Amino acid sequence: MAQAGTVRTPPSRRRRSAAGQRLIFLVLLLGSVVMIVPFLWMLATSFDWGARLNITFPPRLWPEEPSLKTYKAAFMNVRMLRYIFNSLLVSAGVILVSALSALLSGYALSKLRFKGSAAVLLLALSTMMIPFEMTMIPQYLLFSKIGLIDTYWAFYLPALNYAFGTFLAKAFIDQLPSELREAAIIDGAGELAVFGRIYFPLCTPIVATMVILLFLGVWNEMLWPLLALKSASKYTIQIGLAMFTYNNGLNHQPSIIMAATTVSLIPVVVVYLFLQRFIIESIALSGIKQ
Amino acid sequence: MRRKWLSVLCLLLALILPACSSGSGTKAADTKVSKVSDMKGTVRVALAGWKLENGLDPLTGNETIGLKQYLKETFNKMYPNIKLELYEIPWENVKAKQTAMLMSKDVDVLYTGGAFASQWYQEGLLRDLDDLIKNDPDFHKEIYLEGIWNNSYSTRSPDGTKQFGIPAVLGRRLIVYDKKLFEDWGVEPLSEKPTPAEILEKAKKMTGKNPKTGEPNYGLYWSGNSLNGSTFVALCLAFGAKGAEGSLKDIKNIKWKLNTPEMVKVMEWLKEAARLAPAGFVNGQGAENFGLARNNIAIGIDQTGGSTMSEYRTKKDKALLDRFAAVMNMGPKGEGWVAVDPFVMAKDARDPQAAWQVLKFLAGYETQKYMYENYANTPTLKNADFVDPEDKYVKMALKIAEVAHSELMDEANPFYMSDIVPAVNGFISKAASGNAPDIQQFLDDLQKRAENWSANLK
Repeated sequence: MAQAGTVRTPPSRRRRSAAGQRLIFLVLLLGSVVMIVPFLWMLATSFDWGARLNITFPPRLWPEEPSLKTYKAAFMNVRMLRYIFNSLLVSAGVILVSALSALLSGYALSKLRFKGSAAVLLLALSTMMIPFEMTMIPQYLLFSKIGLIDTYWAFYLPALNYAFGTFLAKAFIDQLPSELREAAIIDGAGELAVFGRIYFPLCTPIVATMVILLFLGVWNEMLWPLLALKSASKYTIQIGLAMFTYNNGLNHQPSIIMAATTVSLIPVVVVYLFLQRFIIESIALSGIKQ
Repeated sequence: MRRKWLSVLCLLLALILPACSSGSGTKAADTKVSKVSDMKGTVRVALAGWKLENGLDPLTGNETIGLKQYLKETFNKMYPNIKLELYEIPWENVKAKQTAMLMSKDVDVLYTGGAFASQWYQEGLLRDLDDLIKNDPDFHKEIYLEGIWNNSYSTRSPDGTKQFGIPAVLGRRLIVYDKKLFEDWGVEPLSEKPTPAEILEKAKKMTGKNPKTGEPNYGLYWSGNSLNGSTFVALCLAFGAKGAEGSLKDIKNIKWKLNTPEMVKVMEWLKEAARLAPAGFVNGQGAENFGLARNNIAIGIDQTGGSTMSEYRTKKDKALLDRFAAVMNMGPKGEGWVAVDPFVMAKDARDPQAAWQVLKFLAGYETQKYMYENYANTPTLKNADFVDPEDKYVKMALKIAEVAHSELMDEANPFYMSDIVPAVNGFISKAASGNAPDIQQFLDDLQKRAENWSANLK
């Protein structure tokens, strides 16, 4: 009987392997420090009343004058909660519209196989190659003409064209067996029923991926919200943060800006904590890290 | 693990939110006003960087009055039938936003950056104000600083014949020096109007180990990556390096003079001075402590005095105010580059008469006083009697503005912004590391590029 015992690794190789592990650990540790220290600096500064005039340099990781007054100043000068709520409203709408549009179009391109579907996909993807800076003024003029400036429809309508999502959804649905559709059609189901009852429940990973990518994208978006919204009461959180950075009388007050930034990050952290499993999958699926 | 994190977040929120609840009411504006007109209309106003709501001054802890309340207590009483639609826009990307608003005719009056206003005017998006000024006996242009009123490209057409804006807020660029470091090194204080040579000579003496404290000192600071090359502008004025001749109105026929002996002197100064500043100056860093107790830089060019004044406002301690002295800029009369942010009117303003009343009021004495008292904005007025007597930096800025004039070497010139400033900043960066290119060759190349640029416009 062949012995299925363990194969012994020579000691020199084990040493090399252990040294390699330590090296990898050190590199990862260094990477983590590079990522974490600015975050901790931001957090420490956000509670440092002493840093309201000038950023502490060299950096301090513990506040010189610990205080919540920085947060009070942040909330009293800019309507942070309102802007966070607005950002959530915009994010929810955009996620709903974009994900649904991408899934439906991805399903159609993958399973319906109509004439010219490859050209449609190519056309949709080609829109991704036009920088937003090129289209923003015409897009603004268009929405101004149809009276949708200063409404959230200026976000929801463009969200219908989510070319990257269409591409992702098509690629994912391609992997699902077409026999499911054929069987359902034979049983008398319509296309929408086939999509809604059979394919949609199987698309959970790609839906999670889209939710994460869209949420982070919309949350961090600055330029289009700034163009599309006129009333300060409708502004999103990124515009609110920009007000801290450049507004009269609020310049050069780092601890207050850091307090505002810390608060603006809370929803992102909450989403991350709930969806962290999917985030790693989403990076693997989409190849994009936001 | 996730629960722990969420608990931490909840705790953080629980701590933060009560701390952020609004305090007592705001102080009322003390202006007494009465109705002056029955004029009717709706005016849409886009304001870059103004605050509409009441807030809190983080320096003093005093509550600040937002524009809405100020206007309610002043303009709305004077013009009860003019309805205002106010749009608060942060400075970031403001040009894109206001350009879009102008193109879609969504705005009547704008407060904006001087260079943007100049560009929009040349693109035909703004209205001349001359007829409105002429027909309004209540408007007095004499209240504004002459140097600004007569010369600013932010408010005047390139040929200087038309007025399209009213100056509202002044940019501060003055020379500030640290008396303590001068004393430590035994160097004579700067003169009231220092020349580039004087600055360089004294800065050289104060670069190195401080003879009293033993700490490393830097003789000089200026921003090596300035977006508008303001120090370069002041040097051009000081050395009489025109850079170009002609008018922005006839931009195709500008005669470039970028490789003259005077311009060589400007670059030589920059080359030498680049070795006297802290390394970070090439990225606009390294002067974080300038104006404060821990300062280690002797002379700061194009400074605002903001940090020192903020310390004074916070602590009411004059020690730093006494330590950091302000003098004029490097031009022959003490001038330098002076930024002016104006109020302008859209070409297609719905109701120009009503819009003019709004514009006039927002750029006028009362509003400038309100903006200084609440947000420390620098006024553009000859008689800014509301300025804190201790605010010597604003006073110096006003003196510099009084002798200001626009030249072709400033941000209104598109080639200056697109090519000259990046080239000069690149030169400074190389000079700081001891690798400055040959100056004459560098300027010859710049001259050639400028001539090609003009030729391409024809």
